[in-house]
Amino acid sequence: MSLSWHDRIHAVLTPDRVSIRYQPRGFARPAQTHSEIFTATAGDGSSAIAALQAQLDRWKIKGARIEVILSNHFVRFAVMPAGKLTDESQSNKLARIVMRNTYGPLAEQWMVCCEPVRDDSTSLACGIDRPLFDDLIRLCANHGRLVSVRPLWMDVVNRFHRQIGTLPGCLVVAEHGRLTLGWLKNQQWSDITGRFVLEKDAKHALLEHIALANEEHGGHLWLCDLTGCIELRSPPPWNLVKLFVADGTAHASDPLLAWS
Amino acid sequence: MHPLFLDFVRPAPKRHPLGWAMLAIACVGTATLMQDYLGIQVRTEEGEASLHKLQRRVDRARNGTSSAIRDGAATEEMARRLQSLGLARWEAFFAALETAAGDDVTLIAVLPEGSGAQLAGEAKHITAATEYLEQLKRNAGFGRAYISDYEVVKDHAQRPIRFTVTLPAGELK
Repeated sequence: MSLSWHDRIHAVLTPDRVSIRYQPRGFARPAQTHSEIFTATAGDGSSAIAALQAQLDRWKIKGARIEVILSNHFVRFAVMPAGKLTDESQSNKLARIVMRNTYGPLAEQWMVCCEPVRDDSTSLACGIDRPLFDDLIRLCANHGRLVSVRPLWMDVVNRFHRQIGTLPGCLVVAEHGRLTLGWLKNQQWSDITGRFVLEKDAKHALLEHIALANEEHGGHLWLCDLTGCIELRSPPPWNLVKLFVADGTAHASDPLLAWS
Repeated sequence: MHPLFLDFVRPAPKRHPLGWAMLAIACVGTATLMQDYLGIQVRTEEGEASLHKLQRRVDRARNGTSSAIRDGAATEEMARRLQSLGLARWEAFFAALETAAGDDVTLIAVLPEGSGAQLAGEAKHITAATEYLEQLKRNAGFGRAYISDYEVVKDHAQRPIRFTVTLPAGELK
């Protein structure tokens, strides 16, 4: 059932998996979902886009509102300092500078977006490869309108930000082949990093990051495990809090569908 | 921690001052309309109450016991019939009936019924009618009086009760 005037598509793209939820408009037709795992031929998302294209063709989607959530594989993050910038274009310029300083000249080729810069706390900027964004625009032109392209990180933060509250600690999102860690101090982002990691090494990689953090007093370690592979107890002095997706478990057959 | 908004397509939502101004205007407008509505409702109720009062006065003037007997012939006829019932002092009888009726009851007619009599009246509500009956029994001395019929006047906004009280033969002296 959908009260929208348009069919809606929510897609979560990762390098080796695509999860799609198709919500037709009106009351007659139920929602459909599709999950597909494939062997990624490249890490640029072209396989995921091809899979999305094929499924939209199979469903014969026309005129839909399409929202795409990108795995943290495709997104690079940076923390922007606090400042008194009121203009959106100034925030975007600062975001580009911060991304270049963090990732080098390569970042100049990226699509960058950022939160508005605040004067009382840091904010986040993120970037994706421009060809990936262009491919999404091209794909969606045949099936409807692309209304949102956002990182999975944003959806995780927004789903759990009340649970995280004002406590210091580290938010970890574990996906197949990737760990993303965001550090929170004084109710603001102090750092955010991501790294490629094999699933069997994810637990050790996470512990390594925690150990290197040099946080004597520890804090909360919020773990959103979308792989179901990380079996971890609270590593002292950290207090582990597992964040579960909507169906009550992080071990569902396709947790990404919960985000779509 | 505040929620994030990072989107490559959709611009960040803004809270425009114009939006707040429109919301404030809408709230003020709604409050004004509500105040007007409540004022009109009170005035309507007051108007209906005065209309009903006037209606009762008109009814009393047209059909009341004092004016029901409009001319001499009718007076004589009523006196004759009441005398035939053995009720010589019918002025006192009418006075007793009217005294028992408070503000909520209007007497419409007094009719001889066999060797007794029937009173037709209108009350604002059924409680007023029963109270009138109690007054008749206690203070007017009609201990065996009873309400023989009543109906709700549904086409009137206040929905008054039209009732008939029967005074059996032995009550009239």
